Formats: sequence, C-alpha cells, structure tokens
Amino acid sequence: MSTMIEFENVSRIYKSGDHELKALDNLSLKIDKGEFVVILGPSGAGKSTLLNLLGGLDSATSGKIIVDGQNIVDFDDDELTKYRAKSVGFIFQFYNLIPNLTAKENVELMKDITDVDVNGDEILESVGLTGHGNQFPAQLSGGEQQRVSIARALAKEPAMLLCDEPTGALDSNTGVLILSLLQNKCHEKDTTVVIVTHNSKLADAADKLIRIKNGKIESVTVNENPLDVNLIEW
Amino acid sequence: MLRDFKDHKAQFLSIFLMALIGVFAFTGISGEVVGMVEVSSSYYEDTNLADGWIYGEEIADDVFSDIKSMDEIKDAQREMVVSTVANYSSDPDITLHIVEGKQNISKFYLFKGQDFNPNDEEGIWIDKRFADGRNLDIGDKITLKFDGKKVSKTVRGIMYSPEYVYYIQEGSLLPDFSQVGFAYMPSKGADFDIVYNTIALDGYEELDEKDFKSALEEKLGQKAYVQYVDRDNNVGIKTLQDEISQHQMFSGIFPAIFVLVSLLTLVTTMSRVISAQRMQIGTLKAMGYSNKSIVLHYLSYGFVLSLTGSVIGLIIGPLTIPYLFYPTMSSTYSLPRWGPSWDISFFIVAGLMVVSSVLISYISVKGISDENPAETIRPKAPKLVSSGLIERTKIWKRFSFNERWNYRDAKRNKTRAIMSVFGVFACALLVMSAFGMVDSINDVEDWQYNQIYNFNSKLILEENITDSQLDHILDETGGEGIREEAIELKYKGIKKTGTLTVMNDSEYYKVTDANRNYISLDPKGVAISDKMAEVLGLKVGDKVRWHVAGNPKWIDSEITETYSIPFGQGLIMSPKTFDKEGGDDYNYSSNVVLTKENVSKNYTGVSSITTSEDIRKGWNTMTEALDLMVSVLTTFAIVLAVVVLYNLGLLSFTEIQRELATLKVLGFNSKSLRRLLLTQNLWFSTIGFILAIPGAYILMAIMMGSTGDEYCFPINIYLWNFVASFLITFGLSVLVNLAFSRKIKKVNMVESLKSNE
Repeated sequence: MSTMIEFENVSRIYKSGDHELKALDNLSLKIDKGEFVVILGPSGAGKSTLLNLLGGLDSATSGKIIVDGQNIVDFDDDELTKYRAKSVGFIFQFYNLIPNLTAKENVELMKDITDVDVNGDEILESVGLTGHGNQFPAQLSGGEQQRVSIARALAKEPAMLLCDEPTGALDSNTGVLILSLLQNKCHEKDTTVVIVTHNSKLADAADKLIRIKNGKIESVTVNENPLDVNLIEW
Repeated sequence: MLRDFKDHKAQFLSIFLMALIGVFAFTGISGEVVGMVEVSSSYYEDTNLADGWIYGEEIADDVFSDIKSMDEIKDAQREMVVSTVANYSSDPDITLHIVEGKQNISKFYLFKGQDFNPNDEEGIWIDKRFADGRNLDIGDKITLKFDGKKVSKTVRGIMYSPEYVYYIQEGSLLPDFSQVGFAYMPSKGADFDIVYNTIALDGYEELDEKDFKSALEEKLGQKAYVQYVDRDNNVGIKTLQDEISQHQMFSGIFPAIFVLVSLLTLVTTMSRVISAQRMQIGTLKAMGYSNKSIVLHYLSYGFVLSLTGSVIGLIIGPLTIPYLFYPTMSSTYSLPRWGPSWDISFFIVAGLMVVSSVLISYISVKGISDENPAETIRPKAPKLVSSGLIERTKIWKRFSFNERWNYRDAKRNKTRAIMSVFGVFACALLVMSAFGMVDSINDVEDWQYNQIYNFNSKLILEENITDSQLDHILDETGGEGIREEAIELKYKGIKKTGTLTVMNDSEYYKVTDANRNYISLDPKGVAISDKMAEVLGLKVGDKVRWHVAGNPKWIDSEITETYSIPFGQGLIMSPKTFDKEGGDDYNYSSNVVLTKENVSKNYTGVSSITTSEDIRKGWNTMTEALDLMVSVLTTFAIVLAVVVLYNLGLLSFTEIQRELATLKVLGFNSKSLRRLLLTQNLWFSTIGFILAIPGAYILMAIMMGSTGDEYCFPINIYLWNFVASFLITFGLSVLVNLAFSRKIKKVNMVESLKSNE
C-alpha cells in the first residue's frame, strides 16, 4: 500500500500574549491510501488540531504535511481552497448543513466546486436516505443529518474523508450506523478515512489506531484484522 | 458590560449612530425653520408690528380720529410714506416714513445710535442694510429728494424695521442693498406741508382684511381711503412667510423619513444584538441571576446608547445645519438676528428614539429570560420553511445554489429582508426626490426664461411717459409695448392676487399650454392661467371679477381659454379686450417694453431696466437655498444608507458566519462567498430602488403642491437623475459589500465549527 499522508515533525503552537500552547509537538505519522484510521486521545490532546491541519483549515507552525506528494504547509489561501474542494471531504460533529437548502440541494451544492457530476438522489440513496431529498435539515433527525453530511462529503469523490467526532452528537445505535457507513465507503471506494474521537470503543474497528496525548504520538497500532463496526460492543 | 461594548462595537456604534443621525437630521433641518419662525415672530412682537395698514391719497384728521375710535382699534399711527431718491451715485431709492408724533406701532429695531425721538427736527434713522451698502454711520448727512422737495438730515440711528423684512428695488428679483433702503424721521422735522397717506393700525385682535374692511366701510364709506392691507397680505411679510412655508415643506417630510428609517433600524439592530446574546442570557440565568437584574443589564445598553446619540444629535443638529442656510437667506431677507431654535417636537423625537430602543430591549430580553434557562442555553431552533410556490416550479431547478440560498435566506429572515429593502428604498427615495426637485426647478427655469420669455431687456416705463417718447424707444430698440398690472381676482368668494398682462401675440412673451407647446390666444378673449383657475375653482365660460391694484373699479370678464406659466399666475388679454372690458375706468397704455436688444442706454420715460441676465441671477439666488437643501438631504440620505446597509449587512453576516465557515471548509473560495452576499444585497437594492420610483413621484407631488398659489411647478425627473440615483444606490450597496470581503477572508473556519452556536 502506498503512503497517502505523511506528517514530518509537525508543530502547531498557539500564542496568546506571553503564553504558548503547543497543540502539536513535533509530531510525525504516516497514513496509507484506503486506510480506515482512528485517532484516539483525551480532550485537548491535539486530535482536532491534527485533523484541521490535514484538512487545510489551519496552518502548521513548523514541519511538513505531505499529501499525495505535495507539502500542503506551503500552500497559500487559494491553493488551500482548491485542495479542500478537491481532495478533502469533511464530516463534522454538528453536521454543519446549510439550513437554507434541502438535503438534496446540500449535496448538489458540490457541483459548484468540483468537476464531478453530482447526482443528489443517487448519493442520498447510497447513504440510505431515499425519499428525504426535499426535506430541510431542520426536518431531519440527527442521524439523518449526519448521513446527508456524509453524502455531501462523498459527492465530490474526495481522496480522504476527515471526520471530527462524527458520532459525538448521536445516540449509540445511530452512531454505529454512521460508522459502518463510513467503513463501507472506505473499503468500497478505497477512500482514506480519518476519524478523530475520544471514544476508545472504536479502536478495534480501525485499520490503524493512533493514540495521541499532549500533542505527541503515544502509540500507533496496526490491526491486522479490524472488526466490522457492527460487531463492536457499545 | 464594557466587554460587551468591545465585542459588539460595530452594532453598538450603529445603534448610537442611528439615534444620532435620526435626531441630528430632524433637528438640524427643522431647527432652521423653527428658528426663522421664532425669530420673526418675536421680532414682530417686540416691535409691535402693525396688524394692518390703511392707505389713502390724503388722510384727514377727522378720518384718522374716526378710525382711532373704532372698537377694534387699540392704537393707530399716521405716517407720510414717500418714495425718495438719495444723493448718492446711481440714485438709490429710499422709502421715507415721516411719522406723526411718537412711534408706537411698527417700531424699528435699533441696531446702533439713539432711539426714535419725535422732537428731533434734524434727525433721521436709516436702515442697516443700506447703511452697510453705502458705508454710512451715525452723524453722517443724507439728502433725500421727492416731488421737487428736499430733506437733508443727520443720521441718528441705524435700524431694522419689521415692515421691511423683504424689500427690493423695482423690476428686480434680488435686492441690492446699496440701491434700495428706507428711512424714518419725525413729522416735526418736515419743513413742507405733510400729507399723511398711511395709517398703521394696532388692533385688539388680528385685523383680518375681509372683516375689518367691511367695518371700515361701515364707519367711513368708500371714499375716505384707497386700500386696506392686513398683516398677512403685506408683501414683505408675506414673502418671508412663503419662504418659511417652502422650507417647512422640506423640513416636514424629509426629516420625518430620516427619523422613521433610523428608528426602524435601531429597533431591529437592538433586538438582534440581544438575540445574539441568547446563550449568555441563559447562562447568567442558570447561574442564578434574577430576571430583573438580567433585564436591567440589557436595558441599560439601549438606554445609554440611544440617549447619548439622541442628546448629541439634539444639541449639534440645530447648531450646525441652520447656519448653512443663513448666508443665502440674509442676502434676500432682513432680520435683526438669524438663529436656530428648539421646538418641542425635537425633544419628542429624541425621546421616541430612547423610549423605543429601551422598549425593544425590554421586549427582546423579557422574551428570552422568560424561557426556561435549559431552553435558553440552547440555540433557538431554526425556523422551518416549507417549499413555497417558486420552489415547485421548473424555474427553481434552473436557479444556482447562490440564488436558492439567497431566496431561502430572505424568506427565513423576513424582518432583515424587509429592513434592507426599506433602507435602500428610503435612500433611493430621498436621493431621487432631492435630485428631482433640482430637475423640476431647472425645468421650470427653462420653461419660463427660455420658452416664454424671449426678450433680453425689460424696460419699465414711467406712468407719465408721452406717446412720442414711447415711439422713440420702440423705434430704437425694435421692442414691443405691453402692460403689466397687479390685479386682484375674485370668484365665488375666493380672492387672489395675480398678474394681468395686456398684449397681443408677442414674439418676446410667448404663451404656452400645460404641455409647454406654444399657443396663440384669441385677441377677443380673456385667458386665465390654469393654476389660477384651479386656485379660484373656475373653468372656461365662468365669469371672474378683477380689478387693478389702486383702482377700486371691479370688472366682470368671461374666461374664454387657459394657458400655463410657472410663475406669475393671472390673466392675459389683448389691449382691445382690455379697453372693451374695462369700459371707462381702464384705458390701455404700455407700461413695459420688451426687446431683444441689450439695452443699457437711459431713455427718458424709462424708470428702470431689467436684463434677462439680472432675472436669471435673481432666480439662481432664489433657488440657492433649495440647492443647499438638496445637498444637505442628499448627504444625509447617503450617510443614512451607508449606516443602514452596513448595519444590516453586519447583522446578516454575523448570523450566517457559521454557514460561511462551513462553505469555506467545503472548498468555496472567498470570491464566491462574497458573491453570495452581494447577490442578496443587489436583490434588495433592486427591489428598494424600484419601489422608490413611484414613491419619489408621490413625495415630490406633495412638496411641489405646497409651493404656493403663485407657482405652477410640474414634476419632472430627468433620465440622468434616475441613472445618478441608481448609481448612488447600487454604488453604496456594492461599497458596503466590499467592506465585508475582508471579513469573509478572516472567517475562522476552526472557531466557527467547534461549537453548535
């Protein structure tokens, strides 16, 4: 398997006045193409910072982040925007759907930023939301909204899906459905999926499990036989 | 609280500004008019301005005592008023009042020197403006000539008179104070026989022309006097009054619109600022703060901000704007003092600002704090929107994301949408009507001075000019003789003053209809201007009664047609018809010569010459105040529009910040996000602008309709005015939008995504 993502000595330091906070401290890691990666860690460990840097929402203070052979740390705003539009599918804890648009429109929104031909109905069907296309986000349940959000992320056929606590606002049954959807998509389409969570029960389902603490890698475990998400005991 | 101020400085600043601008515009523009009303009425009162004047050829002692003994009369004062020429270059005209005894009525307002002294045989008092124009001072000698008599006196005082708030040399539109003036002297100083021709009256109540005239006739019979004029019909006082009314029509509607717009914006902003604090209110409540202390905390925002804004506006409004107008006003009118004044309505408007902002804060906070804190700390559930009609049609499918998003956003946030449209509407309305006024005025100028008037010089003839002198002038100038008279018209109890022009079809004075087409009048008929017909309520075929000022004989004439003219409403007839209609009492002779020539030569028999250039200059000075008003209004409109648009833009920006962050994360670039906001802005601007077009017509119709009976000002908005208003409105819209592009760049994706707020 080929290396998709590589962090080389990445640091992210937040400064406020004299106070310095090292969210990521000289961190290095590798993620292969098509891997289902779970990043575990307590609150404030730097998980979200890692994901934000990888997604091009934030810039590293030092180090290199190589994605598909390109160092995104060197990207300017425009390049980052293009990078996000083309390569990254984001899934948020609070779904972040556009409330003014229907489910289908939220998905088809992606037509404006990619060259991929987006068929809203088809994609919604693939995440199990047949018939909900004309509903507004406020009319959908949390799980349904998260599925729309996944559909939206998948619509542009990105190289990776970045998920920040995707089940954080959902009950456990719904959470399992969402995760298994992500796992399936990962394996079906050979899409790299990175999930950030503090829920350690996800550990067994990952191809690769990365634990971080205080901005540093604590351990990296490669699961030879990852469990199907549906089989995890909650 | 201070930290809140810092965090929301833009919104708070705009609440403050709204209160400030609304009150400032209102009090500034109104302050000018209120000040003029206040100054003039206290001036009239302090000087005991006459309630009316009786004019006669010679007012005998018995007639005078009869008048004095009338029940309505508190006091009366006899004067000999004569037109004199002063011994200075270019023969300035001085109206001399020779006052019998003490001066108790229409006392002058002393600027400098001694008070009026009835026993001072050598003294004279001259007016301030003429004294300034000719550099005269106390102790100077002045010689006035009239009817072969000579008065040489020493200047004892320099003064203003309430009877002379507006006066002008004959045949001109604009006073030249070195050419015209007035003076007072006691009767004891006269070394010739005094023939009293004027009585100034002081009544217990107003001496209304109609009522008092019949009382006079009952007492004295017709013959004893020639004319009675009450205070409201005194030319000078009436002209100033008309000017004030003209300013009032501006200060009535426009500032009211400013107040309305700023009030509405203030209220929406305030309620939104508070809704944005929802979570904080919930948290405070959850921590155990009482409802009362929370409500008080937020009320203090509305109160402090709107109060400081209103108070500052209340103070600086009348102290700045009115002073822009005084130089122009004082070049035409003479008041001892120019100054603004504060009206009770100013305080009401300021109070309204404060009360409504406090009230809206109260309602908004109360609404939130009455909820259960558990609900409050969660964001308010988004409003549901169902798919409307447009969404079901096929057109919807062809809308881009941008259009769909904006359509639904406007639909979900109706208040914000309506406010934005209203803000643009008000701005466009004000700009358009302000420009429209200028257009209409220019249009009228073109009509009157290019289309109707085709002469370059107007020669006013002396009443006693001989036929051979007139023939000589006509010969030399190639001009045409006509007759102009001030007349009084009466129809079914309505009485109006107007102008009678007696002439045949003339190439120097062309007659037009309401559409500005040239028409030819029937030489056998009597034509009335359409505005005069409207004011009197008569139509073709009706009989109007009229008489020339100074000649008591009333004539009945049947109206045969109408014509249209911007100013100088009245009648036109041919000399033949004039002789025929007038019978034995009126005989035609020319008293005006119009010519294409630029006459500068002094002909015998000509009392004054006015060139069309003079007339235009006078016109331009007259409209100067208007132009100034237009600039003031336009400036206010623009400032208001910027604040309103920025403010609403900011509100919507804050509200959709999270959506913008999401879109940014998804890969939309700043440009397309800016376009998103711009689209909405342009939609609202377009709707507001379109609504403003009929609005401007209505507003102008109201204002033009109040210009007075003497003027017929059709509404006209030129195309370029639409274009200019359009450019200003949309320019501002885009400009305000640009201000947000930096903010879009700065939207912090990470921050905005963290919480659900």
